[in-house]
Amino acid sequence: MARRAACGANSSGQLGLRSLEGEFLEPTVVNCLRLVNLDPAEIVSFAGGATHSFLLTSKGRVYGAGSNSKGQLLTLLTENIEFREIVSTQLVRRITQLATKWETSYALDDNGSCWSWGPNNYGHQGRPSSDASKRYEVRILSSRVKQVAAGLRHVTVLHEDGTVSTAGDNRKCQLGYQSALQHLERVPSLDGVVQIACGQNHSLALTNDGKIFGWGCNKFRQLADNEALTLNRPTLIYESRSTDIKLLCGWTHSAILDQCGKLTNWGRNSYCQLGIQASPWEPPRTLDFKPFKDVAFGSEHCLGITVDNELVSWGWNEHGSCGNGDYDVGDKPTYLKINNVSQIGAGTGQSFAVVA
Amino acid sequence: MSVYHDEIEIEDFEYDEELETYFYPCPCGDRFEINKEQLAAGEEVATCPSCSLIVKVIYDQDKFRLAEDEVESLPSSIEGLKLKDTA
Repeated sequence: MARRAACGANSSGQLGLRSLEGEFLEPTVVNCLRLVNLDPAEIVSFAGGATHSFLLTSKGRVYGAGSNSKGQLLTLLTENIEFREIVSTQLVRRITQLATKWETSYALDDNGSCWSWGPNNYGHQGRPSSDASKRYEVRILSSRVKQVAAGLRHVTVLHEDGTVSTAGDNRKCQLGYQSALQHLERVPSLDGVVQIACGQNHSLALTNDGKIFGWGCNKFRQLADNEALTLNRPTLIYESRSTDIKLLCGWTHSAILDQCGKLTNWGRNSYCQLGIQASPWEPPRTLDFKPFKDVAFGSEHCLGITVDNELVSWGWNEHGSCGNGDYDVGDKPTYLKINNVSQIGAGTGQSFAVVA
Repeated sequence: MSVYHDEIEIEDFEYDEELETYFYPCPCGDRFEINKEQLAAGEEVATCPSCSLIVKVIYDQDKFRLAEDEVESLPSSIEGLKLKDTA
């Protein structure tokens, strides 16, 4: 039977370890999944916000743990220290994707409907922020959605037709257009998009010809521009030879994982987020390491599964997010001596892995 | 590496009227905080109760000094401050 392991920040029980101990420095088995009759082998992805975590199963079911102080888990409890199924009268179909960066959460179902819940104080649920009274309700954000990506105070939606919409805070040009309206609006002059990703205050979009466009905050060169503090509209920042890549964003760094398992990353590197010795930031460069099967980014820490199914981590580690048993920043991908890893996921400061 | 994790404008903080405190997300999942009194006193470092990271708060101290004694005459144009009216 597959096992699931967690480490990192846990102030609200977001690791699902049935504990409120503030942090776990080493990967720890999540035993509570047995209680909900969940075989970890069914887990297909993770999503994690500030103090809550989700896992999604192949059956399209969502389980959540951590803080519920802002309605993150859609229950009446203030927090859940073990994973329990997320139940809502609106979320009746199979869920295919989850996204969260802080307290607001998004779910995409198999009908292409995108739902949201939690705080709406920046209008990042695509309706006026004044409409905050129903924060605990699940609301429809958009239909015909292919992918949703969460920023800290904004949301980016990829529609089935290859266009992109955004909503929320725009103080760092997160929306990619000028607008004072607080609902989901199309980003102008951007189509043919096949994949999106969001950082804290920036967004990336990959088009069907391998071009990567970025907009929003560039304070830490997370958009690979050498001058601007912000980019207020989609700007070509990188060209990939293939569209068979995965886009990734930490809070302030960005990356692509290509089909050969090579990770090319850029942006903030003050906590070695790029897997190299610390520096304020770096332009795009390919990490010199064994090929990866998958990579996941938390706020400022990173996880990887190598081609040999080994678990590695690097980056900011103050709460044990890197799972290497101490608090030191991981200045290069470091093996955690856990093999047979099939899935990984990261929240703000939390880390997860499914181990066969 | 700078001692500050980041420099954040006060307008980007969220204000809690009850606690009279400004909050901003920290990458550990908790929030940096600084209260109105500290700002009026010229304090510019917001700390996170859960980790060692600190941010420098960019703000105009005069506006907070003013807020301490004459809330009524506060210019309404100070976006994001949302100071509580004590009148």
